[in-house]
Amino acid sequence: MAASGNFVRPSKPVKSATRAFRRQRATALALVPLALILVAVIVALSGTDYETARHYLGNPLVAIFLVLLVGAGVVHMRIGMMEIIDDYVPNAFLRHLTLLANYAFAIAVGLGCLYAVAKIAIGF
Amino acid sequence: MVQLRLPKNSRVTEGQTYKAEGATRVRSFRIYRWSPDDDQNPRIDTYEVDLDKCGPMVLDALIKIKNEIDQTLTFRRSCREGICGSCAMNIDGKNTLACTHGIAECEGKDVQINPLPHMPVVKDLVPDLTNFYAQHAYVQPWLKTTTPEPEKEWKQSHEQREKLDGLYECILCACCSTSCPSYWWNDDKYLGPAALLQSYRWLADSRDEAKDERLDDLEDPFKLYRCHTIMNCAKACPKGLNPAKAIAEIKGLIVERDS
Repeated sequence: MAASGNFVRPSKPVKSATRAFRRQRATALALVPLALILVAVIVALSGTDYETARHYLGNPLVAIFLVLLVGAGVVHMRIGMMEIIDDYVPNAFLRHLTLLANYAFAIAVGLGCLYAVAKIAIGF
Repeated sequence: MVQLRLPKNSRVTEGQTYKAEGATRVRSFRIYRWSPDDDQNPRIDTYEVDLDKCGPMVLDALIKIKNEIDQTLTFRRSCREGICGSCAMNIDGKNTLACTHGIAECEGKDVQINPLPHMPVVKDLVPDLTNFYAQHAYVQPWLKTTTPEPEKEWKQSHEQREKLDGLYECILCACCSTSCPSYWWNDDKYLGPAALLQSYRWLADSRDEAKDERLDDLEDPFKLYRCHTIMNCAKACPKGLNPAKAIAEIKGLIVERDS
């Protein structure tokens, strides 16, 4: 609670705020069909052995779907966490630090998932 | 730093009880009391009111308490008919106007009355609205034009005028903003539902010629985008307006402009 009574007019609009808003909405929409397909894949793989499951996930179409799921999921996760940080971390320095950590975590999770998908699909 | 409990000098204590002797139809009003002058903790005083000798609205009871029981009770009020927004307070856990909220509408055994939440208190039920008014001033709530002023008036069709319905009726009571969790956490950066509803009132006005400028002033991670469509604002508004919808419209205008 801060009764500052002083709102500074920005020198120019912060376009990144609108970009984040649009990406959050776009990835949320994309995640609806992607999540449904994921459920279908999990149901299709239930009861199968390791080799069959690996073969199935290595199918190029399934791999492309997984890449899209990881991409949309990670971007949505990063923006969601950014919103929480903006909401609840009032100190500007700490907020920037936490936002950087959030970026790094999202990149690490995304790269890790993509590596796993590529390894199954391409088999290197 | 996060605090799980209020600071010691802010913890609310139990205050005095004022009995209504000889009354048959009694309702108790538990009212938040705090004065900056006596260095005491806030307290809840209980006032029994004889409903047979009191008007039907919560404001009637408050006025009766002030006139007949305790003259130190402090609250704002003016029009007594839901137009001025002065008597906005938290009644029975909901932000509303004391003048339009019936005593019979209060569901609890006792009627709990607190100042608007998460605002600095001036005294008793009077919140400090300095920041709220600064937010309102920020959106520049007046007609901004660049073309020369017409000889008579700025004209508007019926259809254009209808777009302002549900926006112009705002009385700036602050019920919406002070019911919004996003506003509670970031009231120094987020403009809040009331100011943003007012902003959209001018963005939607066919006569206004400063739309880009207005949108530029709002395009910021905090001033506009702290709204997470929680909808407390629409639920709290005593005039039945929907600030969340207005905020969504502003976001739509910005997205449309930037795409």
